[in-house]
Amino acid sequence: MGARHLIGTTAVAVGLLTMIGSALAQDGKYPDFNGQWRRAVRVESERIGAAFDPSKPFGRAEQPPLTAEYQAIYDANLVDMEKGGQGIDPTYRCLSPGMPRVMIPYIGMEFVVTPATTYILFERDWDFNRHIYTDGRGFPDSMALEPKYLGYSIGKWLDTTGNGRYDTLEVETRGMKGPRVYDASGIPLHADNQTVVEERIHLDKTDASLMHNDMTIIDHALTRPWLVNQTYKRQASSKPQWFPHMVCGEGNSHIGIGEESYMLSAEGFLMPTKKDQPPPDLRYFKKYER
Amino acid sequence: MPRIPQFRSLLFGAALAACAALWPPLACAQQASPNLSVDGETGWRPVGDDFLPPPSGPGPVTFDKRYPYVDNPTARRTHAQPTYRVADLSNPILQPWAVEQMRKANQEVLAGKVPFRARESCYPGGVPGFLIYNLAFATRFLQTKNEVTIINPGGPELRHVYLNVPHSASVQPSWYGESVGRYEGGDTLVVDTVGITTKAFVDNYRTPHTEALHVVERFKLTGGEKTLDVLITVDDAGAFTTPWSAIQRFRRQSSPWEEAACAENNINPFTFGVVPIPQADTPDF
Repeated sequence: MGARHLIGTTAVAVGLLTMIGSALAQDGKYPDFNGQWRRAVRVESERIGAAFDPSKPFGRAEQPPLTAEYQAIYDANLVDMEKGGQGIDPTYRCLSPGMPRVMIPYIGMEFVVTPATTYILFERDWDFNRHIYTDGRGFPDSMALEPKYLGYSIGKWLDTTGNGRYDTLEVETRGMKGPRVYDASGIPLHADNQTVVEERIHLDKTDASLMHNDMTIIDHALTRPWLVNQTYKRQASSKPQWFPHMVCGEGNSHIGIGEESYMLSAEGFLMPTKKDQPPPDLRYFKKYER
Repeated sequence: MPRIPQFRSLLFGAALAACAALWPPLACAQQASPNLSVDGETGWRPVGDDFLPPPSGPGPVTFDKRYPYVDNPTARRTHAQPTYRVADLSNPILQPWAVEQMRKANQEVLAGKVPFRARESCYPGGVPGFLIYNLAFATRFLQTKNEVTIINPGGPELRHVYLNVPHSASVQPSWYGESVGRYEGGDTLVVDTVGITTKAFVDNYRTPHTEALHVVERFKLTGGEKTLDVLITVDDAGAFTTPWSAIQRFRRQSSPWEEAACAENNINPFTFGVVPIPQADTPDF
């Protein structure tokens, strides 16, 4: 009985060691993206907001290389925002920011790295979650018919130093749908949704708590590719942190009707959001004499 | 600040004490574990959006037998009229105040009002409501050394379960609370959750709870790993006369993840008054 027990225990121990060994080997092959990541850089600006280009103040000062047509769209959007409107930023209606805007990120994000897929999980429900496929697949044939706010992301792990370990995740994203803007100031992407987002995601060479995402945006609303270096800081903690689950629909009193944005008052009445805003078209409601 | 129910949490904490000192808990995390992820496209579709009764003992709130609940799939199959849920207030698990709150909600439904349901207002399901959130989407699991993330793409709704760590000393209430977990017996994931906001309901019958709600879920692969059974134990002396249990069952399916925008242009008409809209004293213009 004792011998059988010993054999059983040994077998379990060997099994466990094998599991631990394979788990460690797996862990060792990929960079440590564990933990929770938030924006690393905030530049002071006149308006409050997270700039898509974190090296510059939020808004016009980002100087996105827009074509004349899309610069005019951006300018008109800023004028509307100054009056109290929402401009062309669609997220007030709980639309997803989509790619590349989710990679700002607004609250926090976590990476789950597996050999076949790297998942990027966000804490706001309207950001969704990114799936970066690293299993060798290509973009699907159905991509044009089924575009997504976050698009389709195909990734490849690189060993840039030749030390036998991956250090950089190279990602290409296509197949997005709109409307999308780069950040809350309303910098527009082209309406044709032919955007291509290239990313190189890697840890800083000297600071493992700093992550770089070297982004290149190719879009027909741009005069040239827009290069932006997003940086994320790993949240230091000796114990796990539970992010709050942020819900766009929770108490969201914004209502988009046609091209206009309205508000719902606490009493349940429709309110304007800017001076002299016309009421919505009520043609389908019976008209009452006052 | 919610009180963490003492006995179960103490047992759970004791079991994890050694591991807690090792965060990231490498030694503990290498326990044999059920593979709930299987591959990147494995999901678990719920068999229904009502809790099933436990094998024995007090069980969950179901519908009032005078007003049978007919869900949409059943209605389509049987050519019956679908109905909204009217809760059975005779269930002895309910504290009197909970009965009264639910009676008002029942009366509103019977008077013709569309009842609140988390998914239909794009609100999170809470715990254990996450397990019966909807029928349309398959639940996904991501398992890593220190964490299991449970995802319902129809929101999307995310729950973070940290493995082999104790609960925090004080927990801020949130939609999904604070979940800690461990593996048991090679086929079961045990998740212990506290700190669930009272904005969430326990089920789709609008059963309320207090901040003392404590939920233990045991996710177990069954049926040759084709099904996933969850035994749920609910303890909240503020809302319930006794701890009670329920079961939820999922079937394995293989399908790509969906990108589902629940809140897309949703103006949230069925808030049930759980989150009042802020009101200004003076007009802006």
